[in-house]
Amino acid sequence: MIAMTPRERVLITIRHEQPDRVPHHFSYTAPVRRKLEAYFDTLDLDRVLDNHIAKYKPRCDDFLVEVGLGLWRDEFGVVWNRQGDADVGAVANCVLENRSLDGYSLPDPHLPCRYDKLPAFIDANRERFRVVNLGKSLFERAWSMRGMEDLLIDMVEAPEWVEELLDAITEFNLGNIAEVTRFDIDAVMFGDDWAAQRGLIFSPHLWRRLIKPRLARMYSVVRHAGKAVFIHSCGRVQELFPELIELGVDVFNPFQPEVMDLVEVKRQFGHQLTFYGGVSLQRVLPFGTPREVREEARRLIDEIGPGGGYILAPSHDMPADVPIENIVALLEAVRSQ
Amino acid sequence: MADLSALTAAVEAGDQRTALAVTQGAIDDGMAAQAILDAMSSAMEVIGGRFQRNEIYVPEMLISARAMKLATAVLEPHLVKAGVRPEHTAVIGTVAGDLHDIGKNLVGMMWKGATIAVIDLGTNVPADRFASAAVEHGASLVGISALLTTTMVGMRDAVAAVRAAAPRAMVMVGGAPVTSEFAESIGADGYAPDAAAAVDVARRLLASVPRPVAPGRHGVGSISGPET
Repeated sequence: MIAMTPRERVLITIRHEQPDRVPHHFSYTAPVRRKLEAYFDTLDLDRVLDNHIAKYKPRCDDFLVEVGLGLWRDEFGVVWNRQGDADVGAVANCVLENRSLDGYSLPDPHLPCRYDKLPAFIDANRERFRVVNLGKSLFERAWSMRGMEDLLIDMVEAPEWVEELLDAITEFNLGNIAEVTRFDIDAVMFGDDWAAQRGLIFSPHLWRRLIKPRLARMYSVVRHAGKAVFIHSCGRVQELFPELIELGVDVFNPFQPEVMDLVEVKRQFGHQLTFYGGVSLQRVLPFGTPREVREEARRLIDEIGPGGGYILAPSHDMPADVPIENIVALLEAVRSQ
Repeated sequence: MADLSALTAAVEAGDQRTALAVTQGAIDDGMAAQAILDAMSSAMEVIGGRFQRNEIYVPEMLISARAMKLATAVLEPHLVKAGVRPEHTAVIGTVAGDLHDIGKNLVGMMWKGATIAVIDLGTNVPADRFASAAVEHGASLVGISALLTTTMVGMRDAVAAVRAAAPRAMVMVGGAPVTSEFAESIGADGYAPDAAAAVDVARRLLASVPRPVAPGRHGVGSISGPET
């Protein structure tokens, strides 16, 4: 029997059928990328890691501009202080000081430079599952512009204003989606952390009023184009799973073992949602031994893998404290299926 | 006479206008500053309980804390005049290399709500800065926050530095990847999974700490911002 391609494995697992082995994807932060490039002596990490997913971000080269030492301004005007971590950083300014969009305009989602590398990306990744990742897609974009505490207070005190802001962000995303769904991609990935370690940051009631209707608009366009919907939302969000299913989400990431019982969640929702993640970045990957990493991966393959609906991955981009030996152990575990 | 139960209700509801009006009315009526303050801190205790039971979420907690902060600013001179001082002072900050501050800010707010004076050192705080600030402010409580596993390990140094410089101070740690086992392994006195629990744990730890001889320089519910 001919082995399946990585793309076929992901397509099959999303249909909740059994691929020949559990697909996987290992993503990493900049310090880990450098360690991996040195260890494997190559810049083509997707090849050596046997990554099943290829991700494209619809951004122009000047999406981020350095405006000071370790300070980077994104195209929304948000300045990120990356002196602590080189990959995300912390917001260092406030783009929207008042509850108003007056004098502010969002970037143009139709700029050709966002998409001009997409055909080459598709050609280079014919055998991988191709995802366009929109990144911070709603709540996160809004709080980065308005400030987390101010936005949370606005959500209760001035919901009409928050709706106006979220609508503007939604229109920007819909512009992105209209462009990328014309290409031969498999999925669009949205990112929005709605929860912290112990639960939702704001109430399910506010999520239903402010977030859900806009997700419905964005997700339905992706689905009508025949592409899959991925959502990345950190934290204890599982109380939203029934509604994410109703909205047509295909794949949920990051599937963090610290905040949910993976086996139970798979049992309850695994016939409708595919789970992408599962390997702890708060425990086993940074702090375990290679042997413990292999055992953890084996357990996930055996307990979550059957019947499809699973993509094995670290529960986020691997940060600098993950030892290279543990990444190699993880790779050995997925290859020895 | 002003109705202090209306003040409690206003802070619970996050109604800053009513909270300010009732506080001003109570001051004008000559009511004891301590009693006015207690009416607000009992509201924050209710808020903490509701948060722990998932009846309210972070926005409602922020709005109540803001109502108390505004009313406390009006009350502050009267607290000073009456000689009402915070029983305890806490120093709080996010550990070196880590710029995340939301969890730390929530804990600071809830501690202020429990009438602990809070000195906020901000984010990316070196270990020795926790120690020197604890000494400088006569702190009986030090709170250290981390969001990342990469920075969490630096809490060990911060705990050790505080221990060496201010041996009587209680040290609490928290943040997404932090667990009670980790807290114990680095020699911290306490761990709390969220801002409301951080009040309960602080109260328990401080119950064993004698009131400082020299009272803190900052008034109750001090609203001083980051110092770094």
